[in-house]
Amino acid sequence: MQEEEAGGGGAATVLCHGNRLTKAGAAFVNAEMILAGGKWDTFRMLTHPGTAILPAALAAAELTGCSGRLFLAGVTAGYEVMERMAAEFIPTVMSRGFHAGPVFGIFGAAIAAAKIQGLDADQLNGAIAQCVNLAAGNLEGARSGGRSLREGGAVRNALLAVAMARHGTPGGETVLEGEAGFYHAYAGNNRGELRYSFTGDNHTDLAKITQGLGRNWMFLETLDPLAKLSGGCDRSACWGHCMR
Amino acid sequence: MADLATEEHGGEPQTVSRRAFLSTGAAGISAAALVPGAPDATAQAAAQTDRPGKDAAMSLSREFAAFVASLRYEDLPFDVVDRAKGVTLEALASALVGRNMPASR
Repeated sequence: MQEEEAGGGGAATVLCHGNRLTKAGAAFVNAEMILAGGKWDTFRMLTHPGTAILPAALAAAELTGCSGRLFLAGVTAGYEVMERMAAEFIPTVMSRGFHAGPVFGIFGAAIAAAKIQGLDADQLNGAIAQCVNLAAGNLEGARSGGRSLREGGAVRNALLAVAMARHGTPGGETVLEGEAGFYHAYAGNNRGELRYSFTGDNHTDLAKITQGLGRNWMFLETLDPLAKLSGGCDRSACWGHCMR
Repeated sequence: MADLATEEHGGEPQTVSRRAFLSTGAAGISAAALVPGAPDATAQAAAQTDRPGKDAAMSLSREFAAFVASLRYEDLPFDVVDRAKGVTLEALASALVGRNMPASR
């Protein structure tokens, strides 16, 4: 993987090994390395936000030399946006063949990197919009014995979205909830109708996605085995599914 | 609401807002005013679920953008900062575990 990016950049460091690649290259390798280690955090069983968000945040932090506080604010912003976007839609999006991890992970990764790089509200809106154009990940490769490109691809594309937004590319306004927007494409409709849900209620409201934003932290639902949480994710159940 | 009704019948008011509410409203409190879903309660609930300064016409991506742009470390609750540190450590630990696996090269 590192050969692909060798010879260019040098702006970002590969964890543990220390070689320097382009931002996107280092973020890609770091995401793959975190995935390979298997010690992931988990949000609602089927997404692993840290595998996308942390490589993006680290690349942005290395680029800007930001403070630890801004780094943590960026990580927090990435998790909160990604998890709110994903929460009710994970089973439905996966039932359509998308892998929810990278499909939602790209948004978390882009938000974290964009916050750390100091993008303003217009640019952040543009970054979210380009992520809608780049969100990807399919389940069939892993189902049929292959190994799917997942968060590594998402985090590369997230940094591309941030770079475009930083240069002022206008993204559009209703890229998530619009008639031809993200939820229409990936969940099958923009009316909150779900094919499957965690709770059995097959309807939600898109307005709920941002309800209580900044006051109620969905981020705190993340299962993080290093935190002293009661219970935890059943990793073995996830692994048959994800670790291919 | 149930707590409020109970306290009106003899419990000690425990918070400033509740005491103020009882002192200003005690004479006028009727059963109707304590029914959940009464107009006042509904308006209050609505005010609590919407972020201050939120523009009702904002699209989802604009709401997210405004939230992220104004987010400051100093405003984050302790639990949130603690979790952000936790997930960062988790990812770094996982990278250490996976550093020599083929996918990391």
